[in-house]
Amino acid sequence: MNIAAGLATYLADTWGSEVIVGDISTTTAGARRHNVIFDAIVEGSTRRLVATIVPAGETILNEIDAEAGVRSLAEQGGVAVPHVHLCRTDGELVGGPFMVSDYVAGETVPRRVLRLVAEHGIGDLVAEQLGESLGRLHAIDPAAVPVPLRELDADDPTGAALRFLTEAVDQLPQRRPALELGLCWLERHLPLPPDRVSIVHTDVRNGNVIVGPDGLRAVLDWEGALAAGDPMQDVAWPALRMWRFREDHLEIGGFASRTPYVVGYERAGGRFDEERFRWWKVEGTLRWAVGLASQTAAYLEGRVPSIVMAASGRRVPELEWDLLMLIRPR
Amino acid sequence: MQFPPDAADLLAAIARLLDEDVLGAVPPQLQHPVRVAAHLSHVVERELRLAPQHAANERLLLTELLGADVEDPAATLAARLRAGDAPELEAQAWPVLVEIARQDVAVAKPGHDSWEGE
Repeated sequence: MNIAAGLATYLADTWGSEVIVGDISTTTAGARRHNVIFDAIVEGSTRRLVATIVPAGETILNEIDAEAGVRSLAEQGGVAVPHVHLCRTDGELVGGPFMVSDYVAGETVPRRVLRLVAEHGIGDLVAEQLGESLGRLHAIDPAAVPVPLRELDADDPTGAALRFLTEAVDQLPQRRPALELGLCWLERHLPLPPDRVSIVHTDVRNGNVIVGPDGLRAVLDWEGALAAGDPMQDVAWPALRMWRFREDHLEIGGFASRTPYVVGYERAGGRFDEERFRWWKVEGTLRWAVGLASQTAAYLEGRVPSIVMAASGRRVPELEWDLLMLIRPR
Repeated sequence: MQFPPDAADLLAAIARLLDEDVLGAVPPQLQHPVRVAAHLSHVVERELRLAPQHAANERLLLTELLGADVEDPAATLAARLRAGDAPELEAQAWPVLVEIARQDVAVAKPGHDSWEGE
């Protein structure tokens, strides 16, 4: 398949001018999507762009048009994202549904992000900007999404999350007391449904952001966005230990403490709730442990014969450790 | 009885080969799986060295916590926690499970337990 020719055709269709596509390269092939960086030359000027392509037959959380829609809505709400130029749910010429957005220069690889942030002394700034981005996202009216996003249980997001985890733990090939203790904790500390629900990105963290020497440049990977959930789910997620990449003392992504992050969030209209924040940290850690365990189940059942999936099960103990530290009796 | 090297030593040798020689010689798309393979060789090496002592210790800790010597103490504890009828068991279980998790990460990811914060 000639992806360059396909992209040129679709872009010409959108822009109404002839487009030449060149300097094409595949990068960071995510688990479920291909990212292709390229130049599009239109009317004598060159634009650096990224095509995000969902291979045919791939399981997805949100259809690509829903993802592109929420990303554009977030952009209108003041969240830094790569601007979307084009989204097609057909896409035969490039191998599947896809969208094309601006290429944003900067670091995305977590350890390199940490190096860059340390070099330029911008950890607090990035944390503040990250908090602000989430605050702005959560201020958007969920009814404004142009294409419906996936939904869980908007009336009771914490209860739904706990029910999901309980079922997931039941499916595991081994009973794990530490995970059970995590479930007990979540049950005993289950907060009331939130006062208000918001769009939830679900995966904002070090690794899904682009950072430059001047700070946060874009929030990426809107694939898992939820139509309506507890905003604290989003606020807790970047604070988990697994996104700190050995800089454990810096709660937010390994580059900053909680304070500037919360300042940014509240300045943008968010309301930080420490109890719910802690609940979602426990939930997220347990969910990650269960996710890793189910990857190994996929390997053991012969569905995904990959050594990387096999290895996931051996990461469960580190998540159990993190979980136990989070639920330390007080 | 096998002649030396023992299984753990052999896995260490495989890990060294993967890390030092194979990794640099494979195409980019194979580098991550090779890194994972080297990592797993180290994990299993540690498991072979530590598992007998860890398993005995885990059994001892769980038996003491449960107050009874049962066939599968981990599953028994999990079931009792799930039943949710013994809040005091939850409190007593925490330090025991921390000690067991410490053993598990000594195999899976040494040093991970040096951070005891949130």
